[in-house]
Amino acid sequence: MRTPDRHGDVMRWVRRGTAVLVLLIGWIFIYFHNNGHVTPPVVIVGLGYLAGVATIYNLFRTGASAAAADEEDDGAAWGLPLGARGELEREKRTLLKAIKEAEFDHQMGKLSKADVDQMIGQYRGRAIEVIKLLEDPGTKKGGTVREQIEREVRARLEVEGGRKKAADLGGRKNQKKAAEAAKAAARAAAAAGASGPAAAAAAAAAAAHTDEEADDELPETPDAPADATNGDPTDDAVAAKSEMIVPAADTSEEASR
Amino acid sequence: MNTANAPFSPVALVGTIALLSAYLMAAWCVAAGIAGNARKSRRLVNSAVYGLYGFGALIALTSILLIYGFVTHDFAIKYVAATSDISMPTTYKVTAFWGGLDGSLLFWVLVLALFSTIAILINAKRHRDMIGYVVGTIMVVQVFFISLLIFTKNPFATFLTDPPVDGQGLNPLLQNYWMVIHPPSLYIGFVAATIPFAFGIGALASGRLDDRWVGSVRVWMLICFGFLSLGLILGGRWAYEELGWGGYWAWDPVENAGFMPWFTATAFLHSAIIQEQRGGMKIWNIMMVVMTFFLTIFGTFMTRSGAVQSVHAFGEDNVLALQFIVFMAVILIVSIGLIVYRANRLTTKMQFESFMSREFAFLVNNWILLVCAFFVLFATMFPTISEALDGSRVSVGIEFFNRWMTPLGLILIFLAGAAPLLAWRKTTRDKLFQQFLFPLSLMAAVVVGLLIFMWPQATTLTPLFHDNLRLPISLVCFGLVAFGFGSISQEFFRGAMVRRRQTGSDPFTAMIGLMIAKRRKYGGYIIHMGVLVMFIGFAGKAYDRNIDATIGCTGMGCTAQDLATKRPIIEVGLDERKSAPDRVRWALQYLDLSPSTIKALQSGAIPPTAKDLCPSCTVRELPKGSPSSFEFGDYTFLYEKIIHTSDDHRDAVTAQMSIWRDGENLGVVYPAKWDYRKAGAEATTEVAIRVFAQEDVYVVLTGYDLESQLANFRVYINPLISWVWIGFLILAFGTLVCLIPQSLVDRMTGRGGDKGAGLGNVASLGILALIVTALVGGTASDANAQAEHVTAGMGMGDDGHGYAAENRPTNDTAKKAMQELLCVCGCPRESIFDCKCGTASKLRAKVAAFIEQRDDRGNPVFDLATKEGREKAYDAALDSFVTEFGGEQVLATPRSKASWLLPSFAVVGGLGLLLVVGKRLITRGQAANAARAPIELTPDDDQYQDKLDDELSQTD
Repeated sequence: MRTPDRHGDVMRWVRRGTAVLVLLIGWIFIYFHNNGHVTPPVVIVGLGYLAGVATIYNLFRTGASAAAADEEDDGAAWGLPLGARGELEREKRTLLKAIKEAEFDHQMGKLSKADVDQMIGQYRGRAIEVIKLLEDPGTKKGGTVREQIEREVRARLEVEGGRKKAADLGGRKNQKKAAEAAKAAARAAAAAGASGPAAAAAAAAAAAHTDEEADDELPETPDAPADATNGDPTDDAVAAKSEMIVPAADTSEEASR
Repeated sequence: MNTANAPFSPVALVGTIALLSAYLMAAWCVAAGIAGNARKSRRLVNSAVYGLYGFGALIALTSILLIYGFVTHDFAIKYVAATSDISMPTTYKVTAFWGGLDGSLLFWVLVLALFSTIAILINAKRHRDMIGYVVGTIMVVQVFFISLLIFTKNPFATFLTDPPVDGQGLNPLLQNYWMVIHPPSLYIGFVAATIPFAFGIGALASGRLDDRWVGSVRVWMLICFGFLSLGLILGGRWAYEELGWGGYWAWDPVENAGFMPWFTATAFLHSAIIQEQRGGMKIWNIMMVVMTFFLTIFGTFMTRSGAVQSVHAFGEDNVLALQFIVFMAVILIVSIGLIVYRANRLTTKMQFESFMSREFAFLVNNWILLVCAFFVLFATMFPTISEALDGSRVSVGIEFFNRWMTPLGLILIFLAGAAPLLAWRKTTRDKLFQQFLFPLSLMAAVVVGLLIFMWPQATTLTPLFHDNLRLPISLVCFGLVAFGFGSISQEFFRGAMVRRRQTGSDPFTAMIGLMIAKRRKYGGYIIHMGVLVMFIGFAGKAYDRNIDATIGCTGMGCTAQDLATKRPIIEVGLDERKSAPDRVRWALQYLDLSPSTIKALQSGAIPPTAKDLCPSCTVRELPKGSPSSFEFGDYTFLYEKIIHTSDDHRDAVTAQMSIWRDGENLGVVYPAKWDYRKAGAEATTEVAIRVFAQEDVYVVLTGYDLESQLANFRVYINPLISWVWIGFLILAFGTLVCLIPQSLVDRMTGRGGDKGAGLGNVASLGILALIVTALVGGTASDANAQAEHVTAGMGMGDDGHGYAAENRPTNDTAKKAMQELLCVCGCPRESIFDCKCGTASKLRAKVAAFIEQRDDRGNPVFDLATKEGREKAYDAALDSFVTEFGGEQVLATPRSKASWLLPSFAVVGGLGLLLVVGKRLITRGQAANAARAPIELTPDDDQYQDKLDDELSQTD
């Protein structure tokens, strides 16, 4: 569903209010048309009127939705929404439940101490691995490889966004060029069977190369504000912005579909 | 054709337009939903979602239009004229909506529209990445049913010439409270299976095969299970109270149509636990979801196409049959195709590590449930299959089903008791004995107790699989029920003790907390208990007995009686034609006299006549052999009078009968026959049931003669049958416990958050719907009702004797043959032993004559004194009937080898395969477990250990 803006909210309430008003007017009309007698046919007519109003209301919404402009969507809702982090969270929940269940079974007398210790040991070990992965800064925002590459490119452009001319046509060309280059590089890397990090690195390198070419083309601009980070401002700033993760093997397979 | 007289019905016109509009809207939703999801177009998906809501509103409008036609007597509409009339109460005019085929299809569309609206409203955001596929799948089903309505079974079709002035009225069998509630609950169960199917297809199509869809689907499948159970039990209750044959389940094809998806839904509810706990059985779960939906469509096909014969079926329709066959083929091809396409995403790392594990017990349980579903399917379709194969249509009676389903049911109740005693992954071998000790001891105690106190009834033999294999099945059943009770009560007790140690609370609080924290597990245990209680009722079937009696009402007091004093008895007992001393003796023995009256009687101060002695006394003890009474079991039945009344709708003949035991009057019952005036309407028999704790006494007036006051009664004594209904109530309660939403639990425990709010809303709605339906059903428990397939005047022959009591078998061979041969009067598959008609009486005489025939020298042809002779007589009797009636359709049990070979192969072969495959899986799992390298933790991991402990403390 769309995320409503204020105008959308108001319009939605106007529509609903109109529908309710039409409904009430119709019911009142039916009531008085039958001289105030509420008989089974009158009740049925009232219900039928309600169904009719609901039909028209939803028909309108059906058409309006179909005719609406395509909205921005972050794409994550169409792919694998869980991503690596989501899978880890799910696995952690499963392991926690399994530990509790094993403890419960032991207390119920179904498992010996040795068996339950062995089982719980396995579960705890894996759970700790999962917690470590989840706490790794790189895992704060996961996603598919495509998402990571696009985030990388956006982050790069954002870091270098001090260049006002990035907002003009040339800047747009830069962004487009950089994004296209990044995507092409990622596709090529994935097709070559590269793993996720390698694909992402290839994309970043392609984006950087494109930017360097663009820099040569662009007139000089005032220096961008220095990034607060130390070290190489470009790479560290981009990394901080994009918070790349090391994707799991399966997600890179998904990205290559 | 003179169109000048063609009736015009605005309701029919608008209704047809609404149907066509709904069809177009459904088609748009299919296209927009699937294309939108595939192309990742949010606007198309939104349009499909709103279209689904609009479709629901439009179908509601269509249904309301049809109901309006009923209520306003718009007999220009054929469907209205066929299923209602002016004199029907408004309630039944509304319920006539689903009383016929056309309306029932529209009702299906309506219920699915409402359910899908709720499902999409709740899940649209949670599953936004596949909701388009879900909407598309649901609307494909709707397109199918709408196309049936538009092109084949339009409920708004009108007469082409003058419409009738009045309608034909609803079948009297359907004009009762049970039939108000039974079809909706069953339809809700059917329709509820569509939602999980749609989500399953959505998950497959979108590739979103993580476990979240299982959680959403599980709740809907639980709702499906709950409503299917409710629908089935209401149908059984209706049959018991209304059909007059003393039973509640006849394995009728329409009953089986609802039972088959119940098995697969139950299987899914168990295997879904494995996927959620251990990540396994993903392909199996998807298959169960697909199979449950497929079986609901198959069941609908069976009952509406004429593929099977049933008193509940809607009749034969080849065009409809073809449409259903094509749709079912599409379902299977698309579903299985998607599963194969996504098979690599459905693999699992879960291993089976031990036979003594809950996973393996669930696997066996699932297999048995699947076998049950397919056996019922096979046996129901066997007459059609046999006709297709060799041209002869055989019949499949109740006994055939019972012989196979009984042992399968016993295995299931054993598993219901054994599985809770096992742990996940494996149960320590040394602990097995401890776990099984109490349940097995209880089982042994119950079996020994029954053998001691209920000898020899406890050893009643029942045929299993084959006629020659007879075992004390009821005893085994009681034993396994005791085992199950022991196991579940042990789980509750020990679980509460564990919780008590963990929380420090009192035992009661610990028990409640346990049930809420682990409500899915313990709610499931309550459901198991309900099933076990129902099996007590099922086991009582082995002890059912019945009797036919033709008796007269005692002469002079018959038409004007004082019920309290039992004047007919007194009149006969104190008949002045008897000697005075005899009358004194009789009065002292049977009348409840005051001490002064006794003294006066003995001294001769009061003459021993009814007028002087007993103007208003009561009978203390019923004399045996009273001409108006007969004994059966521990009871004496006194036929007091017969009452004839009539009104605008019907003639009613009601017998008044009191039931006595050990001299105590247990109450009066009023079995009756109602004959409707409406042309073509069936007469119905109103059964009288007196419920006692240990058994029901079930009285049917099977015939009467108003002139002579003779009446024919059939009395059934049904032990333990009440436990079937009680067991269902426990099952329903367990279902409600399972549906308690997480949001409610969070609120109670103060955890807050809207985790699982989507599931919680579904669960809340499910609980609300079940509670409302249960309340409605519960208040109907005292409702009187009407029914029966016995035609008017049936049961009484020209000579005034009831047919049901005529030509009863005098030996076991004749009885067995009569139970195997089906009556050809047109009744629904009743044997000539049970059927109460004149045809059955004549056929019984024929069987008896055949078995007892003698040769020219006067010697019996069949030696009934020997086992071989009895078997020969039995087989010869059946053969003669098969020859006379030209086929095996007169037999209740098919004799072809396929009828037992195929089920044997499936059951035995399947279990064997399960063991072999299980052994390999377990061996592989154990090897994988042994090969797994232990995870080495370092001192740096201590902080993570603490974090893990924190998270564990927050987990239930």
